[in-house]
Amino acid sequence: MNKLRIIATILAINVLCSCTIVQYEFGEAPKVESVRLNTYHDVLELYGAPDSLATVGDNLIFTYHSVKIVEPQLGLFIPSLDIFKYSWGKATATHTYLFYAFSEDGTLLNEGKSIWQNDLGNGSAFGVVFVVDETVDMSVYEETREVHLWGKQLLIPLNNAEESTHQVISGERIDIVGQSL
Amino acid sequence: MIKRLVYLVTSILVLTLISGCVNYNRESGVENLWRDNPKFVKGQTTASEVLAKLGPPSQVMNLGDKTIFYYMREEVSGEGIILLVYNNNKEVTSYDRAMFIFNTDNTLEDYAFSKRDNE
Repeated sequence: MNKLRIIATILAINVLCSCTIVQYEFGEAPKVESVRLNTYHDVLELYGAPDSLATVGDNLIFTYHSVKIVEPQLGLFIPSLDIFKYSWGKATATHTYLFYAFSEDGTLLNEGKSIWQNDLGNGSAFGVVFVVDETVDMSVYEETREVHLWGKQLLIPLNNAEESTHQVISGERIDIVGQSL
Repeated sequence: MIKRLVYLVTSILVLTLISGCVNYNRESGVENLWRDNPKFVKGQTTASEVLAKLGPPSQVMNLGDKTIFYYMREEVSGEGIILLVYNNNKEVTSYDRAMFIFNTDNTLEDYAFSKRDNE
């Protein structure tokens, strides 16, 4: 009986290898306080500088946003290819989002909070056992944020600039990780 | 003979289990000079003084006749442990931000920095 257990354990270790947990965290949304907020001064005082801001018409928008991605992967040894493995993974992103809209004089017009999950799909990869690969495409989360490119984009002649660049220069675009609004 | 065998098996096990650790860090965006405690006074500090202390902002906006300076610094830190049987990799991206709102006379109306964990 013991021999069977040992053999089963050895087999399991040999077949199920290189299981991986890949995690990404972008930003940290503040914990919502049950305090009455009337102006952007109140919001700045309570939550600090926003994660992203934009002006739309005469209104000012603040957003606080965080994303947490978890991608568990199952790794299997490939018989006769000792250092190679086959990985299968599935990723889920959890978003926390706070939204505030203010009038030009700073009065709070709208506010909202939302927490939701996105299924980022699943995928598989073939690789060496000592390397951690992503099995799901997360390139949308790895793009440089618009705010880092804003100054560079100002150097582009407006006539040649894309519409999105114009939106950024005029401050109409909210810069959120993994999304373009 | 048995001792050598035990030593060999132990070495193989250790090599199998403790095969690698990774740690990395990168930064982008403007320098977060606002963390050096420069003094800003609402109603007194001007846009020029903020520019002199912090340098060019990441983004400039206008809200009616008001001007907004927005600064952002991004820091990515990652760590992972690669055992052959189990691997774990975690990457955390944090954003350090500062925002300044100026009145029509270019004096500071309000400002704020992003809150840190201990704030």
